[in-house]
Amino acid sequence: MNEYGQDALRGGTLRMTSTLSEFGAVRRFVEDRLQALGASRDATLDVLLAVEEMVMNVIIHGYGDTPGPIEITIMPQGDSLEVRVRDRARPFDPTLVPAPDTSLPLDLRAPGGLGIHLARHYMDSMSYRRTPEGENELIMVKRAALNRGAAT
Amino acid sequence: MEITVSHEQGRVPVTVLHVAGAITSNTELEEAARQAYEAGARNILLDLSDVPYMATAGLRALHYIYTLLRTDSPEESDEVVGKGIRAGTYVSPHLKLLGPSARVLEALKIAGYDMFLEIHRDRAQAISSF
Repeated sequence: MNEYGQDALRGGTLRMTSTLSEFGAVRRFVEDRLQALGASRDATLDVLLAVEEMVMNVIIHGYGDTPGPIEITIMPQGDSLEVRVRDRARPFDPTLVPAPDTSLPLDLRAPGGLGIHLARHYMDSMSYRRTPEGENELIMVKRAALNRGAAT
Repeated sequence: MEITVSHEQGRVPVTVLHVAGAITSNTELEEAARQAYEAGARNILLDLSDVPYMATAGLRALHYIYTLLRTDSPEESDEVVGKGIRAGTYVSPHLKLLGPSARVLEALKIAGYDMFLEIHRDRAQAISSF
């Protein structure tokens, strides 16, 4: 039994509240889930980085001082991994954020955006929609992440 | 994440912060650097050879330490540093990195941090480069 509950794990989903104290559960969930799916170590580190960055953005910039729910689902699609992050924070489409100009000195760069930039780099695709239920839904795909024939 | 502090004498005193484990929080590393700075450290070699993984938390910590160690000297004025980074001729004289893994190096490059932080592979050479 994980501390975030067996129910929350069923179907490959973690449900959490957007607080920094719950953030540690994200890493354990991603690592456990990807191990169960037979993901490679490299793919696991890539997905972990992307998920942590995007969830941290939701916690800090999305909800801010008023915590709310975050749901992370990781499902296999052939040998790819699909990660879905849903939240009820204010509408925010990270796919519209331009890449930071990393040729500028740090102090002259626009703040933020680096986490999204890193997540984009480590995943193969990123798409966003506002759901009819009023949620932000981010879907990220990592291709060739699973060894074929591994358990689902 | 575990941070071990040691002191070396090159041309100048160099404080080595050895980090072991994934850098997933910036506060611990920033605090270790701040304590070293308050104890007199002015040149820091950050040994990343046992760091498998680093994301924006680690990058934020590097930025913090870089800023902490930057002095008011004319060679480090905004103008000189800005021009130098664009021209590829400036690296921080006070913060250098040792032995990042391919994965950590990739994150440094994506963020553009390799443009102003010198990266070393050999500890003795790194210490004597300050």
